[in-house]
Amino acid sequence: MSLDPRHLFKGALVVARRDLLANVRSIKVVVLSALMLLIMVGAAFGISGLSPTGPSPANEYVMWPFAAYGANNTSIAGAAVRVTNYAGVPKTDLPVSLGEPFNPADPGATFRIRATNTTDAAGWTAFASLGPGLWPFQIKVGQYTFGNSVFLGLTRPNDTFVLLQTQFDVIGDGSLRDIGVEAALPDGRPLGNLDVSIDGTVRGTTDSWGFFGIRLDVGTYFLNVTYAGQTETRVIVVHEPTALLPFQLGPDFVLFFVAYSLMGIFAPIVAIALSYDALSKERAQGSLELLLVRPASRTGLAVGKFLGTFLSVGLPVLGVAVGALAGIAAVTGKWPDAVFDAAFLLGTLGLIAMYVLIMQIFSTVAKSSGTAILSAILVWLVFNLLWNLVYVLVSAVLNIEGGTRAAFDLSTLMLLFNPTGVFQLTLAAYLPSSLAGAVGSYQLPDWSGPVAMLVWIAALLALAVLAFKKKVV
Amino acid sequence: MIDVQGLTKVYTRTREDGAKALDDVTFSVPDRAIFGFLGPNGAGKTTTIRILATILAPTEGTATVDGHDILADPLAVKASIGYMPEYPGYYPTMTAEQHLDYWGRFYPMPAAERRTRTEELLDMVGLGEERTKKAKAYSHGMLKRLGLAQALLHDPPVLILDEPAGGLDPYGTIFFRNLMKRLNREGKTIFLSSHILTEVAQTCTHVGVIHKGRIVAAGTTGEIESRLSGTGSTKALIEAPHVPDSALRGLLTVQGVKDVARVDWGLIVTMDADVRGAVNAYLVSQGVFVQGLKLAEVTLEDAFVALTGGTPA
Repeated sequence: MSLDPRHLFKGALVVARRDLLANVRSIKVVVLSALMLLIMVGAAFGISGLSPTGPSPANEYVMWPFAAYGANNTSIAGAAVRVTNYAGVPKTDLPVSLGEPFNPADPGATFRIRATNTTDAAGWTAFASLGPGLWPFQIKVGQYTFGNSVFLGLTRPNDTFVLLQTQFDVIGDGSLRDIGVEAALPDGRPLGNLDVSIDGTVRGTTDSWGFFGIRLDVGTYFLNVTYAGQTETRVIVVHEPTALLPFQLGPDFVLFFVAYSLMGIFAPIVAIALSYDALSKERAQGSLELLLVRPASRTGLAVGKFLGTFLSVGLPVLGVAVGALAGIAAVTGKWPDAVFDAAFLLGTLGLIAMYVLIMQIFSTVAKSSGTAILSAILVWLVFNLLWNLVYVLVSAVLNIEGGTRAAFDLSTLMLLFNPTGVFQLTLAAYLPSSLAGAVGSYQLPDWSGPVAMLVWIAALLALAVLAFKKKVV
Repeated sequence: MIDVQGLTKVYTRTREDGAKALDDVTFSVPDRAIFGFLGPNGAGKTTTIRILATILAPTEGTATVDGHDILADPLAVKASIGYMPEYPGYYPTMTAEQHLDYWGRFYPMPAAERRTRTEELLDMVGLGEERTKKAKAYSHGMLKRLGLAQALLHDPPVLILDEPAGGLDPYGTIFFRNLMKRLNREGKTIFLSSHILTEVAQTCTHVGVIHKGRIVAAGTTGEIESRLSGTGSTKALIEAPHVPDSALRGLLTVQGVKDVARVDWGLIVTMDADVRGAVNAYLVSQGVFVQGLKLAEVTLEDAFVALTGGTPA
């Protein structure tokens, strides 16, 4: 049937619009999208939250011991202790025990309680009239025991204030990024409202209980606090992470895992579930015949069916994908690399387009819904679970020995013939530099993934239109 | 209005015997006719209809509908026909309104026009009160009504209806018959297929008879009837209370008489042509009292049986 080229896609949008509306209203799409979102966001959170030790209780119970010299009596000193968490939140009503002072003659002596006081609303408590020496403190929380000590000199030092500073491994990657400082007067009372500057820039002030906390990136910093003519300086070093877990590799790695492993498996399932009967259903319910009699071209109808299903799958999955990105950003505090984000979103749409088109072709050719369902299961199995078997068969046919260079090249090359593989190649092409090497070297140029995806989509679309013209009666 | 020229369709796979579903089918449907396409099941009615509706491509031959060639300009054909299949398709979760709105979007019709047209048509086919019900709750009759409404959506000059009365209850049948006549009066050419003779006889102005993929007769309803009486067997009904056996046997010798059957009120004489005069003269000559003699009225049913050489399905 010859056609005016202006009418080539006539009717496509009408069909696409109906299919999109019908699908979006269907319970199937809602359930699948919700499930997928759960899996993706759950995985993003799960991986991001991983740490080698888990959150350490040591970050929750931090003792800040200060010497407490009397204003007039310079030789007999007491000691004050504040207990907070790493962020400066006071631990109130907590018993703090003071032990016997360190005895050089008996360095291995166990902690013997001399006195126990309870912290006040500021997490503060004090022990009076102790005399010179190294005085140990202890608190017990459940199964944990935390200790610290303070040195009391013979005379009161000339300092106008005392600054304690600690680095915490809150994240659990060994980089000690969380910094806490606690300032006190020589008599042990907290010293609030002091400016804290880092590398010359004031980053905040100590709270009314003398605490200031901040999280820093990897690097070396100078921290300064000044009070009554005295300036205390601390050098702070935030290490490169020492543990190489997903989170330590950052949001990019989490996205990489979510995209490469999860999206690669679940997007095809959703695509197949929604598109396998796109045409066989219309045929079965007789609406196809009424569609064919409309002033629309066959090409238009076929393209419209594709667009409708593609958007029905693509829009919810895109929502899920953005949700996964937001989940990663929420947990890691940082959005993954923008180019990689774009590659992830566009690659996902491409992946869906490929599977939707494959299923549309099967759905067009299949005589019954049963055949269509069977073909759907088969397509997913072959491209996702059985691909290694296909690889083994191909390498056997080509007489390529396993473990050789040729075998590796073959497996790489075969990715181009698998929609999921093409998706993975596309992701690999836009991997941020921080993840270089995460997928190994594919020995294929970077453009091969995206180009293969476009070629797949164009070829499948042409095939789908052709099948529709030939097979639909 | 519809001109069919040498349509041939061969289904390559579905027919093992390689028989042609349509074999050189030629006929025409005049403007403003109600054309009844008659034939037993499997004769090729639906194949012809689907080719005319540009759903199916013919193997050979072509046709024009409203002046547009189905092969050269299928979009124009689609725009000028309203088509209702035997079992009109539907989307189970869509309402009647939504169906018409959807199908209407394929035609150059603004949204407001689509709405008013939908309302009008649903009232016309008697679905006004069910317009917001989902189609999966519809009965067969309601689906047929919806099928007719979608065919009328764009006010096409030609309606192509496959078995419009099939599976309808008597009320539905009468409703459809009256609607056909009304639409025809309003200027529409209607092409309908049927295997129900009475429906065609009561509704149609023209008839085409198809049997095993071939057209065996086409013309006005009257023509088909008289053609049978002119060329085929003609029956004379003779009212005569007493006919001796000798007269009955002798009647067979009268030229043009093929067969004589005795019934309780007289005789039915089957003739090659109308030779009632000779029959009457012979009977009178044998002393038979002939109370009445008339030609049997030939019905479409007779025509159909005679033309297809079988019994109507």
